[in-house]
Amino acid sequence: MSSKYPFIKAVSIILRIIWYLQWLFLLALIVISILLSTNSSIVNIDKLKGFNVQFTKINIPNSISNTDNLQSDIYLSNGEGRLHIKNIEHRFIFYRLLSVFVDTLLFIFVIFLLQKIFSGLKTGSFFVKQNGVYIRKIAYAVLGIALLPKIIDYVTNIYITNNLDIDGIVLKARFDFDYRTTSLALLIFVIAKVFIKGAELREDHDLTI
Amino acid sequence: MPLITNLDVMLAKRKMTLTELSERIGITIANLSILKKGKARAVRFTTLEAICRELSCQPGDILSYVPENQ
Repeated sequence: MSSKYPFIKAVSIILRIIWYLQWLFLLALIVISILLSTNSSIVNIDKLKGFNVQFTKINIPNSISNTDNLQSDIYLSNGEGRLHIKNIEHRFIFYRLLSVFVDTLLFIFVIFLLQKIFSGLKTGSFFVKQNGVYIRKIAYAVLGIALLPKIIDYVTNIYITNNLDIDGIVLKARFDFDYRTTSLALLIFVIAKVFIKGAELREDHDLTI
Repeated sequence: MPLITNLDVMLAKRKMTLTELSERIGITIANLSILKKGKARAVRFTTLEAICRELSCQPGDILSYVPENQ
């Protein structure tokens, strides 16, 4: 039966590969977390001890002088950068890994649902209500991908900015709302709704004698 | 559903099989079976007309309304 739909079969294989790669990534994330917590010397985890921070102001210590020999303060404002600090408390890194962990789990869930849809398509069941339900679940997961990691990042940013005091750097917590992914999730919601309604109409049509 | 199909009763009265009826009215046995089991969502007037014609009966002989609490 599956040979009837070569495109669907090819996409199913790609989805299966992505599925395994995501689990591999999640496993790597867990291993890194364990290595960080045990302070293991197996790998040089110092390289991992960096995380993104948002800042309001970073003073440049050595002010440059212009041709008139007038000193001027130079600073970076309103940006985001990767901060590397030696011997930093591991919890800061953990908080950063948490949003990646949630993001990966939700993505795995999306791939799982897509696999379910495609396994149905391989048997020729295209326009069934169950597929609409799967699409609706995908919409929820995409909405989760758009919001959850950002919320976790925001909360941990507040925690980090309150607990990390670096001379010359003014850190701030900013909520990065992902408009694009949220819009995509809403669009998938609409598609799911239309799909479910369409499947109901088809069922009605099939059961009209 | 409070609507009950009495198609099997009428078929028995007329001593006709479902296969025979399906051949006469040009509707598949599968679809007639859905109607007989009461799983149908709707019945076309043309279908009802054909069934009544072949079974020499009224629509009320095939369909009856029984309230759900009874």
